[in-house]
Amino acid sequence: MNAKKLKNVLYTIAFPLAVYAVMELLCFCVRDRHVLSSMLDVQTIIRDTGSSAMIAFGLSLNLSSGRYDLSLGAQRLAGTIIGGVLALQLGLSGIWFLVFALLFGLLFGFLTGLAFVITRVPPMVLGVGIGLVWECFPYKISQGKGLNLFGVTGMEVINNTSFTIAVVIIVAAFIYILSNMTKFGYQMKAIQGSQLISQNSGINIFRHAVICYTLAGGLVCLAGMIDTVFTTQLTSSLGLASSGPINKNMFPMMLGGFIGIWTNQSIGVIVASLCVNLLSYGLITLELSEANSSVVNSVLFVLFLVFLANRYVLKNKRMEQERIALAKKRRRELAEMTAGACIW
Amino acid sequence: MENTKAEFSRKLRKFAESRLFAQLLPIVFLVVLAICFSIATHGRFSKPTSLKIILDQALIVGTVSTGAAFIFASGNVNLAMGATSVLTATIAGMVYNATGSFPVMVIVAIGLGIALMVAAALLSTLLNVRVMFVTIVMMTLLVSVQQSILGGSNVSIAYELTSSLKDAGFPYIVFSLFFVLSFVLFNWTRTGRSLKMLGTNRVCAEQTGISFQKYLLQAFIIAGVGCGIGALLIITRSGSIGTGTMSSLNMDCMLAMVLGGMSIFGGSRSFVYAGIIGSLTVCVLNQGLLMINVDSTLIQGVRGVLFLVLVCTSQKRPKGLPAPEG
Amino acid sequence: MKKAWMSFWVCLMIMGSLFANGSGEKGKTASPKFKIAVATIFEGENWEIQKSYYEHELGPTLNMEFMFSEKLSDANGLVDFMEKAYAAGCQGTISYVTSNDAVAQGARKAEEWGMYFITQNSALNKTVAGLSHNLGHCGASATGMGDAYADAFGKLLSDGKNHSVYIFSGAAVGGAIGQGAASHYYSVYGMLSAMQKRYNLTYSQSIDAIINNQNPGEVKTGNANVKIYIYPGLDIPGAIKSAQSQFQSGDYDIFAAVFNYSSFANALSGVESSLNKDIKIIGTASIEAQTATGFSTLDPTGDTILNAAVINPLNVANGICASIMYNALTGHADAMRDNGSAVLFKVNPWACSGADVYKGISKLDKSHETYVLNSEDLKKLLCVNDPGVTFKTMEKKLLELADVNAILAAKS
Repeated sequence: MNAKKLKNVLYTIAFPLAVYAVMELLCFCVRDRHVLSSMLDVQTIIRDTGSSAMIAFGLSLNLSSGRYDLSLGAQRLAGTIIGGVLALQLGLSGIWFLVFALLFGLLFGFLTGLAFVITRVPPMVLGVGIGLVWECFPYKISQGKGLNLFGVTGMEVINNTSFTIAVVIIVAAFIYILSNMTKFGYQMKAIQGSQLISQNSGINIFRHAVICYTLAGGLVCLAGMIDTVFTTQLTSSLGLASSGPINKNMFPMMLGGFIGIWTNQSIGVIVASLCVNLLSYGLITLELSEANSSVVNSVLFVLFLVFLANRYVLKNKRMEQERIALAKKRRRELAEMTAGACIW
Repeated sequence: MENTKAEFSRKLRKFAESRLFAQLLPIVFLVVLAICFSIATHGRFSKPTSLKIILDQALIVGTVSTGAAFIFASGNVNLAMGATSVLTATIAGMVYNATGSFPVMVIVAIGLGIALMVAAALLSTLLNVRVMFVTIVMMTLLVSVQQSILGGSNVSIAYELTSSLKDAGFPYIVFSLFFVLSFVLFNWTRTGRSLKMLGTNRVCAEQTGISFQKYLLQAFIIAGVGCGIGALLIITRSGSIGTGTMSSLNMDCMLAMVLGGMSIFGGSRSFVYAGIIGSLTVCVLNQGLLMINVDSTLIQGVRGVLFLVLVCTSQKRPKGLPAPEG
Repeated sequence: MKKAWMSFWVCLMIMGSLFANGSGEKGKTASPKFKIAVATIFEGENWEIQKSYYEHELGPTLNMEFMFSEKLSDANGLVDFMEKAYAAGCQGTISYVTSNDAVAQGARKAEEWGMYFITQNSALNKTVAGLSHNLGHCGASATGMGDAYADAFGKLLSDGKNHSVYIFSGAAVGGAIGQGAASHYYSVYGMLSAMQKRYNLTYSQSIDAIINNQNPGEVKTGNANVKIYIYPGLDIPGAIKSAQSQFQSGDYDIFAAVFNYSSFANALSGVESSLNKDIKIIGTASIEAQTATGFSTLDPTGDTILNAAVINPLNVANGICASIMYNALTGHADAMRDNGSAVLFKVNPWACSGADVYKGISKLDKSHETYVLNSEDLKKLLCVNDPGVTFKTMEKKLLELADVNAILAAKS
């Protein structure tokens, strides 16, 4: 491994290590406890990181192109509950729940994407309207019960940490290959640069948007099912309350994009999810109330956004000052040369 | 004959794409909806009591949305108006309980509403964070701060104050004043015109000397006044603010703006009265659907479908996809 | 243009189908029905069970039709809904919104419009108790909850060993003053009282202060061998992580949840496997499939997942409230009040110490024959059938319903 690659790897690992170190110090000093005190904690954090990373991947597919889909939470609810209820009624178990959740997630994502390209309404606005509709489906189909997996046998495989890691690796690899080794990925980067120019240069931005929405729907439902299997239930909700778990994962998504500078987006998102989950774990260990933890998370997110938007400001200012200094120096030299020529 | 038909078709299409059509459609929709519900409920819906109730319920969302119109006009979207109003109401209520002074409560409410919105605006204008991200973070942050302040308790305002304010018509007076002020600012001042120009074409507007940062800040300040007044109306209406109070106000404002015919792209097709028309439409829908015994879980679905249908009919479909937000 | 017309027709079709399906005047009966608004705070299976009881048992028996709200959370939502209900011609409101402010606002609005108003909660609001249209409150009895939990705990603590408890207290914070959930508050109160009594604990603060602390943490018990940890709030993922971490330390062996105990099952099973130690689970539950599953499914140590439960007989309160409302609407409101003042009617939950006990309870509330208060029972509570019925009759009935064995015997 050459020096540059090693440096990149070290920078990437530094983030979760730094978060862990800070939280461990705080927890030890304040509560005399460790952030992670057993293998169970490690397994839980792996599961939470995996789920968080998948939602962050789903968000990034649209958000990086400037589309914030407010209906993603509703799609997660609808796909997970309907897929799970159907699998239960068919007497299936284990991995079939994931498959059904994925299929229904893809379906709801596809329909949302189709609605977007047909109506061409701003995604946030479309998300509100279509989210209200999607939330009704699981409520009606499950008769208000949502998805209850308490006591359902054969789900151990999904609860297994190794399985979660495998799913996350597959998803991360898929996103990496899609973003970096396919035409889709190149088109995505072009559209992120300028949608208009991409369209004029022949990229089918409509088909691209539909594919992004479809994949995002599938990913969030995968995460939804993994979470539901562990907590044994997912209740239907109305009033767009389903967008909470999605909004919580914006921070890992944005942080992942930043960390990905040193490696790639896929690894960056996973590392960022780990950082945010370590932070959450630490705040729980510090025995902060739910509201206070949320305030801490939100403030850190705002500070990070400010940093992200302004990280080149100082450098640009410095470069501008150097340029001005160089220009002044050059003008002085020219003036001296001219004065010298006059004397001659 | 065919020429006449073609000519008529062309005129109809032109009318449908005109500004007048966009202004009239939400009003016509509201009236038609009200008439349909009146017929379905055998006149019960259109009784004066029922209509007054609808108006009372629409005032809070209408006020906050009227302020939001200035932000929407510039082509931006702000989803944190509801959270701002509720946090402002919480703190204003606590100030009233501590001081017993109504004027102080009003000043604190409006001042805090402006301060919170200006903070959000500065994040975008000064610190270059995208408006969309600011909106999303503020939604969560403000709700968490409110929960942190309240803990498990509520802020209760004395019934004597709230009932005397209601009896004196305080909500109507305050809303009317704010609406008139907003109407004047939006249609007859440089602020309103500039915001609409920025919404129509930001590049052109900036190149003609209209500063995006300056006018966005003004839009947020006016929206902050709307949030502060909305907070006072929340206090007057329910006399109690808890962690669940007006939890759907964020989305209700967005719904109201769109159902009221506000152009989601901003620009010259923005109308300041979209907020109140939209909130009346939402309240008419909620009331009417309940009165005809539609299942409460379906009411949301119906709102969503009508929202999407109205959005499609009232906006001119762009050739490409909407530009990146924020 | 075409798109606009298409959208317009779609709109019309939706409205048309709604008006066709909407039953504003559907099912006209010989006599006009009483229209009652039900302001709920619930969503989900629990609520669908209750709605079914309202529509299929209470409605036909008491000649009532019900207008249900969306899930409400506070006074503002309640007032909004009551206004709509009043405009729709409702004559009474049954409210589940329990905060003091909501009760006060609701009762005053009801008085203004001449609507009867009754709340399902556990605390009497004295400021509006004198309003003539306020029919009082019906909810989980504070002492009943406490006794039921003490009973459930008592059996687990009776082995003579030291036990430490992790309590997920939900919305208990503020519950006593009508801000959070009173039933959550009184459940936790019962647990802490039971522990205090059993081990002679000396808490560093009053039980009320302990419950109202919104930060999670260990309670100072004055006994190093008996620990109590309380996690307040509704953040289930956070509570799961916290519970797992605390139980992994080996210090705790009983988990008590005022709601959603099943969400913790997997996490606690993991700890049981890892430490090879049985963790007892007690939870508030209702008569539903999930409770049956809890009592019949085994954890890694071979014990049932759910070891004890406090069953809230949800439809008892619904039946009593509807009967009181009917009596008021038929001109007997004074009989339902105590010297012109609203009354607090207390519903006693049932302590269920194991699968055998639950087997009997699970048969209740499934159909007309097994409803705890079916049409025959309800008719005996109506003043039109028996002029001697007063609020004391209701109280007496509720006391009878505290004995689940007697109910099972009557229904079998």
